[in-house]
Amino acid sequence: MLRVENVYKTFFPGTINEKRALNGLSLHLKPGDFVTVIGGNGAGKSTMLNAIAGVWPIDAGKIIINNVDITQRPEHQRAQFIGRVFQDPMLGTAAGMTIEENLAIASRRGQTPGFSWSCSSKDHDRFFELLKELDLGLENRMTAKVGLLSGGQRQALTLLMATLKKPELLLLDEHTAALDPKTASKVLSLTEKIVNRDKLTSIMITHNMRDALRYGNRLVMLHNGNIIIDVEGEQKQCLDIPDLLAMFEKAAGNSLDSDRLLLG
Amino acid sequence: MVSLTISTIAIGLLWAVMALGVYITYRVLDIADLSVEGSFPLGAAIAASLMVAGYGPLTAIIAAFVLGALAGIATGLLHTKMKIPALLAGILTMIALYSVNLRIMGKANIPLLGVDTTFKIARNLTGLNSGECTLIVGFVVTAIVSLFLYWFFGTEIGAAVRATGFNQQMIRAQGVNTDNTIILGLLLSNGLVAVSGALVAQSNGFADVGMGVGTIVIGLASVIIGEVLFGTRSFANCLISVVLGSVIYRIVIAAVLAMGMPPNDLKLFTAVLVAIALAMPLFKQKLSSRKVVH
Repeated sequence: MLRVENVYKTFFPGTINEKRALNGLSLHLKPGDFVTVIGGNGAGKSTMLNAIAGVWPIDAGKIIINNVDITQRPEHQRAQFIGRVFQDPMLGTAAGMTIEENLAIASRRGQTPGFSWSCSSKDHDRFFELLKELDLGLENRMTAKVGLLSGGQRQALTLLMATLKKPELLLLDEHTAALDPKTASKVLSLTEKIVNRDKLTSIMITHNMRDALRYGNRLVMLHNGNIIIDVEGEQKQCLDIPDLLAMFEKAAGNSLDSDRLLLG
Repeated sequence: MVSLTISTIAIGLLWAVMALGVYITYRVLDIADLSVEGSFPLGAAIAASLMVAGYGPLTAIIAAFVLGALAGIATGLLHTKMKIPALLAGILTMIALYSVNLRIMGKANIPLLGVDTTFKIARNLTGLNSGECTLIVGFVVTAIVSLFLYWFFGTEIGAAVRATGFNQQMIRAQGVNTDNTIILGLLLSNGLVAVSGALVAQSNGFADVGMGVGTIVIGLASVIIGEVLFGTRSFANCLISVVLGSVIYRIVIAAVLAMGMPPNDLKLFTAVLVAIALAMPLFKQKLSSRKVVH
C-alpha cells in the first residue's frame, strides 16, 4: 500500500544548523494498517509525514503509494491519495470561509476545480448528516465562518474534511496535541471511529505513549531519523509503557530523555 | 450642484471597477499588489492608442483587460515561480509598465478630443448630458463586473482562489496548485484595473502616463471605507461595499476640494485618510477596552 524506501532528508545542509532529519528511513504499510508513531523531539516524526505528503523534496529514496511512485510529485498532486490533519488547528481549514464551503472544497480533494457552483444543495444534505455524526452541533452552523469555531471543533471538522473523500492514506500529525485533554480524547475516539468504519490506512503521530498503545494495530518508534521499534498485532496489544521504555533502551542504547513522551 | 453630484457618483463608479480589482488582491488573496499602479495607466494607454487609431471603445476596453491580465500574470510569475515577495514583484511590474506604457502611447499624453468614446456614443444615443451618460455607463459596467465576480468566486475555481488567500497550506493539502490560483487572482485583478483605466481615460478625455500614481491607495481607501460603512457580512455584501466605498471616496474628495483644499494636496489627504481607516480596528479596540476598565 505505502512504501517508504530508504528516505534521507537533511535540513540546512552545509550550514551550522545542519540537521539530518531522516536517515535512511523505510516503512511499509499494508492496506488497512493503523500505525501510531512515537519518538522524542527531533526524532523525525513530522518530517516523515511531511516527506510522504510532499511538503518539500526528499534528498534520496522513494515513496510509493499503491504502486504509484510519487517521489517526484509536488504536494498538491499527492492530495488525491492523501488526507491530512495537522497539529495546528488553524492549518486544516480556511478560517474566512464557511463550514459548508470548506467541506465543499474537501469533497473535491485531488480533483481539478471547474466552473460549476462550489456548494450544491445535494452536498448540503450530505454534509448536514456527516456533521450531525460529529455530535458538536456544527450541522446547524453550516453558514458560520470556520474562524469562529474552537480548536477542537476545527480539528474535528478537519478530520471530517480529510476523510470526506476516502483517502488511500490518512496522515495525522499530532492532531490532538493542541487540544485540552477532554477535547483531545473526543477527537481521538472520533478518529478511531472513522478509521475503523472506512478501513483507512493511517499514520498517527502522538506524543502520548498510552494513546499510541491504545489505538491502531501497529506501533513504530522513531529515533534519530530512523525506525527503531516496529511492533504490530498481538505483540503490540500485550505491550505496556514500561515494556516500551525497555525496548527503547535496548534499541537506542540509552535511556529515553523526553519527559513529554513519558508523562503524556 | 446636482449635476456635480451625479458626475461625482459616476466617476466613483468608473473607479469602482479598479477598487474591485484591488479587493481581489488585497482582501481575497491577502496580497498588497502594487502592479495596479502600472496596469491602470496601461489600460488607459492601450485604449487611447487604439481609439485614436480608429478602433471602437469596446475593442479598446477588451484590449485593456487583456493587457492588464498579462501584467497580472507577470507579477504572478515573479511571485510564485521566482519566489520574489509579492510586494516587490508588484513594484517590479509597476516600474516595467511605466516604460511599456510610454512605448504604447509613443508620448506621455494622448488627448481623446474628437474621438468617439463610450460616453460620447452613449450621449448621442440617449440625448442625456455627459454626467448622466457617465453614470449610466459606470453603473452598467460596475454591475456586470460585480455580478461576474460574485459568480466566479462562487465556483469551484473561485472557491479555491479564496481559500488560497486564507490558508495556502490547507488548499494545497486539498490538491490545488496555489501558484496557479495566485496567478489567476492577479490576472483578474489587473485586468479589471486596466479596464477601469480605459474607462477613466475616456471620461477624462485623455490618457496620461502619470495617471496611475496613487492607484493602490485610492483602491485601498475605497475597500476600507466601504467595509467600515457598509459591512462585510457576505461576499455579495463585500462587493457592494467596495463599489459604494469608491463612490463615497469620490464624494469626500469632491467635498474637500469644494471647501477649498488645493488639488495638489489630494494625495497627501488620501494617504492620511487610508492610514486612519487602516488603524480604525485598533482605535475601536482601544476605545472598547477603556470602557471596560471604567
